[in-house]
Amino acid sequence: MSLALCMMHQVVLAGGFKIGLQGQRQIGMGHTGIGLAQDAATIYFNPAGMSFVDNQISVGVSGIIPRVQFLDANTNLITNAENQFFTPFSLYANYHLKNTPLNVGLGVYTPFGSGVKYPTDWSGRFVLTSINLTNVFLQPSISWKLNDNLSVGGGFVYSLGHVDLNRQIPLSSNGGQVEASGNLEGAASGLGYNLGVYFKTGKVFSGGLTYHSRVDMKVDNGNAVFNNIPAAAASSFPNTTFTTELPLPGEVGLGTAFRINEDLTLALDLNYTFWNSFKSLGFDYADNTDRLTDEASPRNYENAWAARGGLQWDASNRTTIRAGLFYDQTPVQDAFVNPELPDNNKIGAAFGFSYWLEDRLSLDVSLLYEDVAKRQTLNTETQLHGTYRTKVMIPGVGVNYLFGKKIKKRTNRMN
Amino acid sequence: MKKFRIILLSSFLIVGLYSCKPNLDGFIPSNGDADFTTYVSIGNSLTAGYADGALSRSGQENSFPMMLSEQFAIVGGGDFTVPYLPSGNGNDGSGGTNRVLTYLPNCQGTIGVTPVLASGSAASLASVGASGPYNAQGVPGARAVDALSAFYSSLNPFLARIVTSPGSSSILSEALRINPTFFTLWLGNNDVLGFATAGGVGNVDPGFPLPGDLSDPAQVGGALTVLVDSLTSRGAEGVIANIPNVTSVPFFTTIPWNGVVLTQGAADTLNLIYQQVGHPNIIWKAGANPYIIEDTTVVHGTLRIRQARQGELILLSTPGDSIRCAQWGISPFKALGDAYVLDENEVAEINEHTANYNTTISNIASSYNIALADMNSYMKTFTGGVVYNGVDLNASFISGGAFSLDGVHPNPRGYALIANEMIRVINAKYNSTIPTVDVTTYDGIIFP
Repeated sequence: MSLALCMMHQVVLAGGFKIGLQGQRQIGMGHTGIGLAQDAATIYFNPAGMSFVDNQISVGVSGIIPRVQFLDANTNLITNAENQFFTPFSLYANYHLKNTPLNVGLGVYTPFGSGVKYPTDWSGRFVLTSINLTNVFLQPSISWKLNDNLSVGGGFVYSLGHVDLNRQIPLSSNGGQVEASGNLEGAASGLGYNLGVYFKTGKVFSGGLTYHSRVDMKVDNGNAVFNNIPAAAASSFPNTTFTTELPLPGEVGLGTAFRINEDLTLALDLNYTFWNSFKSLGFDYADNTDRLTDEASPRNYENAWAARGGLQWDASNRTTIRAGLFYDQTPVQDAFVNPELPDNNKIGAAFGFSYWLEDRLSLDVSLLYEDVAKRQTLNTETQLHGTYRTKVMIPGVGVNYLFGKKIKKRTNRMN
Repeated sequence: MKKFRIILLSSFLIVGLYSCKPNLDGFIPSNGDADFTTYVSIGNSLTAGYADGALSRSGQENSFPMMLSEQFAIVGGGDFTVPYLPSGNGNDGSGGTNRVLTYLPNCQGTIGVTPVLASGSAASLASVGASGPYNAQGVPGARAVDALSAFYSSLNPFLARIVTSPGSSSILSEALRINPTFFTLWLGNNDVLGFATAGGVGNVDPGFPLPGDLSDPAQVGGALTVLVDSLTSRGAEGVIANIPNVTSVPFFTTIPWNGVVLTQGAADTLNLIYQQVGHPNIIWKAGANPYIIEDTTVVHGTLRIRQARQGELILLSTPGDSIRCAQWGISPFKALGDAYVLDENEVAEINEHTANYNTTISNIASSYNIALADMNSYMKTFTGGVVYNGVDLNASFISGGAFSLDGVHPNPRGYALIANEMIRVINAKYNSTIPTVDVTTYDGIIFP
C-alpha cells in the first residue's frame, strides 16, 4: 500500500508551474469542477457556478513535500534536492444578494507556484540552487442567474507574487574554498480576469465553460545581491536591481457532470492552457557590466491539455466519498527542461471525502498522488544532461460552512 | 467510524511520506572490451598535471590520469600510484615555484590580478624512485623524441626522481615495468611547444633535436611507434592522444597581433618618427595597429623591423608593462624580438609539423587498433567556448576559466574536460560505459 501511495510527482501539481489544488472537494474528484458547482470553490473553477451554490465559506489547505532527484547522465551521480514543505491554500466565500439574480463572492487562492532547493555543491549549481515562486490570486466575483438553467459569471483577478532565485557563480577565492553566489529576489503583481458560463438541465446534467485570462506578473524593482565575489571581479557584479516578467498563462476549460443515480455523480473536465506565452525567463539588470549582462534563458513552453474525471458517492447522509483521475500534459519540451521545474506528463489519482460534523459544517479531506514519467533531458542552453524524478504526496484538508438557508440534506447533490 | 477513518488515513500518509523517496537507477558501468586493471599514464607535463608553471602535489592530484584512474576503479581498475611531490609549492624543474594570482598595480597604476611566483621555496625533487615503478608517469618537458632515451633520465629532473637508476631507465622502460593492461599516451606536444614558446628561434628538423628545436616528424613518429608497439605487443590496450594546435592555448592568443591602440594624435606623432627613421612605409592610424616586430629579412629602411601581420602570434611571455609603458612594439627602436613573436613562417612550420605529427599519431592508432583521442579538434572547441552544466569555459587567459596561470596548461577544471574527452573516446573504442567526472567539482581559476 505504501508503494501504491508512493507515486512520482513533480514540484508543482499541474503542468508547468500551475498548481491544481484549488478546492478540497474538487481535488478529491481529480480537480474537476468546471461543470459541477458544489461549493464556493466554483469561484475558481467557474464563477458562473456561484448562482447554483448556497451561501457558504470554503477554506482549505494542502501540504506538499516534493522529493526531487536528479541523475546525471554523464557522471551517473545522483543529486537529491532538499526536502521542503509547501502549503498552497484557498478561501472562497459565496453570497446571494436577496431579491436579485446576483451572487457575489471572493476567492483567495494560489494557482501558480514552484519551489525546489538543491544542495549548494551540486553539479548544476551554476544553473540553479533554489527557486521559490509564490503567488496569490485575489478574485472578487459576481454571477448572474439568467434563469433556472443558466448563469454567467466573472471575476477580476489581482495577483500578488514573489520570486526568490539562487545560483552559484563560477568564481572561486580563498584557495578554492569560497565560491561566489547570486540571489535574485523581488515582489510581483499583475491583473487578470476569470469568466464562466454554467448551465444545468433538471437534476441529471450540468456543464460549464470557462476562460481564465493570462496574468503578466511583473517584477519592477527586484534585488540582485551577489556574495563572495572575489575582489578582482567585484566591479563586474555590483549589487543592483532587476526587472523581469513571468506570464501566468491563460486557460480555457470545459466541464460537465452527470448524476448517474440518487447518490452517484460523474464529472468530466478538459483544460487547455496557453503556455506558449512563456518564451523565455529574462532578467534585466539596472547595472550591466562585462560579466553581468541581461539574461534571456529560453523556455519555449508549448500549449498543453489536461483531461480530468471524478466520481462522488453520497455514502450516507453524513459522508460523501470521492475519487478522481487526470492526465496532465507537460508544456516543457525536452531541450528546455530546467532544474527549476523538472516537469513531465503525469497521471494523477485522487481520493477524498467530506464528513458533516453538523448540519452546516463539513470537513473536506483530499489525498492526491500523481505518477509522473521520469524526465530525461539534455538542456541545450546549460548542457545539463540527465534524468529528473520527483515524488510527492499531497494530503489536503478543508472546511465548508453553510449559512443562511435551512439545510435539508447534508451530503452533496446536484443543486 | 470517523475516528477509524482518520486513523486509517493518517497511517497511509505517514507510511507514504516515508517511502516517497525517488530512486533513479543510473546506467551500469562496464569495462567493455578493455582491461583497466593496471593503468599507466605516459606523457609530458599535461599527463603529469603540470599547471600554473610548475608541477605540484595538488596538480598531480588534479591530473587527468588521476581522474581517469578513479573512474577506471568503477569498472575494475586497480591501484594507481603517483610519485607525489611534497605538498605546498610546486617546482618548475629548475627550482622555481608555481604562479599564483595577486593584486598588483601595473605601470599605469591600474590595480589588477597578475600571476606572480608563489613565495617560499619550491617543492623538493628528491628521488622517490625506490618506491616505483609508478602508474603515473607523466614527465614534464618530455618530448616524443626523448621517450626511448636512457640518457634522458639523467637530464630531466622530473624523470630522474621517479626512476630507479637515472641514466639507464627510459620513459619506455619505466612504463613497461608496470606491465600495464591499459595506457594513455600523450607525447609530442613539446616537440612543437618548446620551439613555439621560445618564439621559434630553435632549429627545424635537426638530426639531434635539443629542447627548443622543432622535432622531425619522422623521429616523433618513430618513437611513438616503438612505444605503442612495445606496450601493445605485451597485451596492453590504450588510447593515444594527438597534438593541439598552438593557437588553442592562451599563451599564443592573449596578446593580439594588432594590440597597439592609438588616438589620431598619437598616430600622427608616430608617423613623423617613422618618417624620420626612414620607415615611412609603416603607417599608424587611429584605433588598433599592429605591433612592430624584428624581422631580419626586411630590406627597405634603416632598421630590420616591420609591422606584425594578421596570423602572427605575440607570446604571453612578452613583458606586459614593457608593452604598456615602455614603447615595446611601438617605438622603431623597441621592436618585439624574435623570442616574443611567431612570425608567419614560424607559424606555418609549427602548423605543418603539428599536422604531420597528428597524421602519424592517427596512423599509429589505426594500425595498432587503439583508441585515438583527437585533442587537437577537442581543444579547438575551447576557443569558441564550451558549456558544462551552465558554466562557460573558454581559452581566454584567466577569465576563460579552463587554463592555468601559465597560459599553456589547463587548470583542474580544464583537465577534467580533457579526462572526460578521453573517457568518451575510450568508451567509444572499447564498448565500455565508464562514467565521466563532474567537472564542477574541480577548481577553476582561484582568485586571491
